[in-house]
Amino acid sequence: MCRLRNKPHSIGHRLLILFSSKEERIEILGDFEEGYELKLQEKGRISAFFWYWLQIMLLIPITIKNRTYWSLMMFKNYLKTAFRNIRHHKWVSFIKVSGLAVGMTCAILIYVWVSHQFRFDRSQEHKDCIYRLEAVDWVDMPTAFRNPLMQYPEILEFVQFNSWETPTLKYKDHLYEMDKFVFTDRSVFDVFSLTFIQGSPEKALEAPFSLVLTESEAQRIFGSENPIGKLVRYDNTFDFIVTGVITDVEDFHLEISALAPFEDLTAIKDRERFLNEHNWNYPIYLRLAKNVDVEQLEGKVSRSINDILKSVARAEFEETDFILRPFGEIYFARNLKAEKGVRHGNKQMVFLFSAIALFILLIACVNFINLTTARSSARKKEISIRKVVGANRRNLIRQFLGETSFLVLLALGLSMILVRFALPRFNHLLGENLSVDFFNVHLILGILSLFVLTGFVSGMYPALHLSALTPHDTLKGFGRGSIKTSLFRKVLIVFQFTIAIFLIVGTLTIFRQVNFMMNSDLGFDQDQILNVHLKGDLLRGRKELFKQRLLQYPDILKVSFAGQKPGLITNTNTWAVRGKRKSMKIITTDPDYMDLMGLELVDGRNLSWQLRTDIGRKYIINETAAKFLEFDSPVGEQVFANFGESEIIGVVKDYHFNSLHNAIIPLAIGWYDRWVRFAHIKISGHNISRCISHIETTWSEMCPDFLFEYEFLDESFAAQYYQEKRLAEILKYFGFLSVILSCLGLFSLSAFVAERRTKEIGIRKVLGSSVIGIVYLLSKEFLRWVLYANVIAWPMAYFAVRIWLQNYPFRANMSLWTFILSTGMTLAIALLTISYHSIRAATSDPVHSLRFE
Amino acid sequence: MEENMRLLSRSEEIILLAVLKLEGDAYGISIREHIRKATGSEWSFASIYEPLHKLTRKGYVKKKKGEPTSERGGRHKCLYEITQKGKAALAEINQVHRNIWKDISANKLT
Repeated sequence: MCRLRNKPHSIGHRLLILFSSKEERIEILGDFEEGYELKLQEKGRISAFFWYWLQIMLLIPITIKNRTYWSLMMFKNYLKTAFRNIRHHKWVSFIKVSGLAVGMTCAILIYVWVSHQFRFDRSQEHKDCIYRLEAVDWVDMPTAFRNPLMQYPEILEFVQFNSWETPTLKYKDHLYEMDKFVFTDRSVFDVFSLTFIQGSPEKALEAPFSLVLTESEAQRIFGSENPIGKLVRYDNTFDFIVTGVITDVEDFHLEISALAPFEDLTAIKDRERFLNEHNWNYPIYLRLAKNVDVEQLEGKVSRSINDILKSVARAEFEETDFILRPFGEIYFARNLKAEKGVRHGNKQMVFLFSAIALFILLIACVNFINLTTARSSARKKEISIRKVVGANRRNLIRQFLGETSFLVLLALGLSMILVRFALPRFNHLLGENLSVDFFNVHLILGILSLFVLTGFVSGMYPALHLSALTPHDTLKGFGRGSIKTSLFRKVLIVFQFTIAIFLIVGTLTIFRQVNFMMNSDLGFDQDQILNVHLKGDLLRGRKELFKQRLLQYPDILKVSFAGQKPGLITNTNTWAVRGKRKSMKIITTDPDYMDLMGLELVDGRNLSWQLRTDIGRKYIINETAAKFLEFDSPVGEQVFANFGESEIIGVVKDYHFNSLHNAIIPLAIGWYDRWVRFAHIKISGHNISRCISHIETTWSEMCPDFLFEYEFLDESFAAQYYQEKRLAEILKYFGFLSVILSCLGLFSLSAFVAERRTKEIGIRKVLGSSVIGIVYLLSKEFLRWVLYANVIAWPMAYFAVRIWLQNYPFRANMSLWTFILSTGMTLAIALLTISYHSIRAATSDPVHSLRFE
Repeated sequence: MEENMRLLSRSEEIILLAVLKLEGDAYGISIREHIRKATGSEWSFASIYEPLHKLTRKGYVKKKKGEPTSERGGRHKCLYEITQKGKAALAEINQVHRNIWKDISANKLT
């Protein structure tokens, strides 16, 4: 016998296999082959070929019609059974669906957030050609780098930013604070894609004192008026003319609400200082030609910049490495020192949240799996009958998967509604302004894959498990839950609680760390101090008068001016000490500062109002600086600082001038009359609101063209722990959800166990068992598994928490209590959950339970 | 004969008759060939399988495994055999035909 002697057309052959049922396959294939053979002999190859294909084409539609007909019939049946199941087991179905819905809601919300994070900077046209110039950990550059950089033909465009100004704009007697006011080069529009609504990128920043506003800023200032050509007064000194309006800049790491020509800074600021090579304040972005060897260019750029720096070096020169950071990496790069007007994402947070969302979803899926398999006894008869009548395993798998998909679909619908309700709270927690648009392609794709993932994870195991039941056992009525399945269920419970405990430990630890940071002694007195942002004339000559007038008020105790407020001391000065370059943080202030902040002098003297020679030439350093500068007794030592030869006159005890995220680093406190931006005002604490309104009155008399802004130092300092607080808040929710979801599963599982053991309990009671004894009997197994979960979660949580805490130079001790508390909490909640059903079972009358069939 | 038994459709009738006539050698190819000779038109496989399945389901024909042949690539034939029930159905349709055609002579059709 020669098999497949004339296998005519392999594609046709395959099609036939595809479109024939198993029983008919041999018949159809045989007929087709024989028929083809006959045609071949009768009419030749070509017509046989056409005949063959015609037959296939005629066969396929009919097969499809039949198949859909029958699968529809079956589908109707499946749907009916599914509905019946839901109706008969309302609570279980409710728990299954609502659990999944909660899990999916978390997943959708996190997905929306994560995809927003990854959308940052993606819409820029030249994103692959833009680079930011960075020194090791520094993005702010002098203006003097423009010419040496522009000599390279690879560099097409150069744009520099100044985001440091926070002017007050005045239009028609109304004042507007601008905190994202950016001075920049005209080339900004050639580098970045900013869309003009009015005006043109070529002309907008051409003239001096022209101003481009974002749409919402223009709306805020001008309302319905046409902004073009209008004059706005900048800090009551210069008039800017509005020449363009751009769309709001969103999903962009640079924060921009207004753009003005970079050269105008020469008029606004001290021209000399502005053009100085030592004035490192302005980040540089470069647009390169396509296919440039960036590494090579980096080397060349680095060399020519270092040449400039060498020529102006004040002390022994050290080369600095400059790098070009690709635009796409900036958003997720770590926050470099003194970056202003830049938004950063945190990839760790993105991963952490994604993982948590996934785990919460998994917990919900586990509930689904456990409840479905635990309830399998209820469906054994149905499955057996189906099998006896002729369903094969594939049919059953398909049926159960379909049923799961139906429930998942219900859950998905529910979660879409939940997302709507949860979104405002979620936005509030994250400090974002996300919106959910269910017609967005990305979201649709995300939700689809969520659906498939959830359906698969929660449906596959039950489908395989249920379809494997044999009619023989079940119809005889001996169907006992197999040991394998109940073990699997327990493993899943352990998994759920491990995650829950892990999250609780994490949340508690972060809360502890936040509390620790907020309540630590900072080494200075942060209470009852107001920070007032100085503006306009108060920045210059009239601030002394302001101070005098404030001090006339009895409840105002002390006033001191400073360049930066505690918590944000970022000003760095490079000193030359014995021929070596030393980088120092610097607070520019006046002699009252030490006293006002309650700083403790350990050596030497304070700055003195009596000695005008102290101005700019005398410094107080902290203990860390004394070690860093390698002075045994620093008082009297000479250093070369900003204004030349200077002297150390005192040593202040180390204190936390920046947040506890940072170790204490070398600091100098010096007296500079002109470099101040804040007034620190110490008040007595009696009648604070009267005190503030007095300051405000004084302000509006002396400085009417600017808005009065103040904050409390302790609050502004604590605001730096916002990130941690936020993380803790979010984790709190997730931890809560994971516990609730896990318990939801436990709740229905305990119901199931209690139900299954009704007779046993009845007999035990008849034989004299106590209620407590039975509750114990029913609970101990579940509690044991929750305990196992603790055993697994503890070391995991311990290591995770330890790694996280290592980010902090000053950290709360890890406490055993955190762990014990988490364990206690989960056990207590689990016990409560189980107790409902176990107590009910234990107190029921054995007469009923023994009659139970 | 049950009262509510549905009448055979024309194609079912033709195929059932073919199975009856072919006497144990009725399978896809031979049935098709038979119909070609009888009606002069070539039926597609699809239009033969459809009624054949229905007939099988109704129990008018029985499927039987035949000999494997080399023309069929070594696959065995699937022979159809008419059942008693099938014969009854044919008898009924035949009766119906006669009733319908009664009193209609050939010259009325021209």
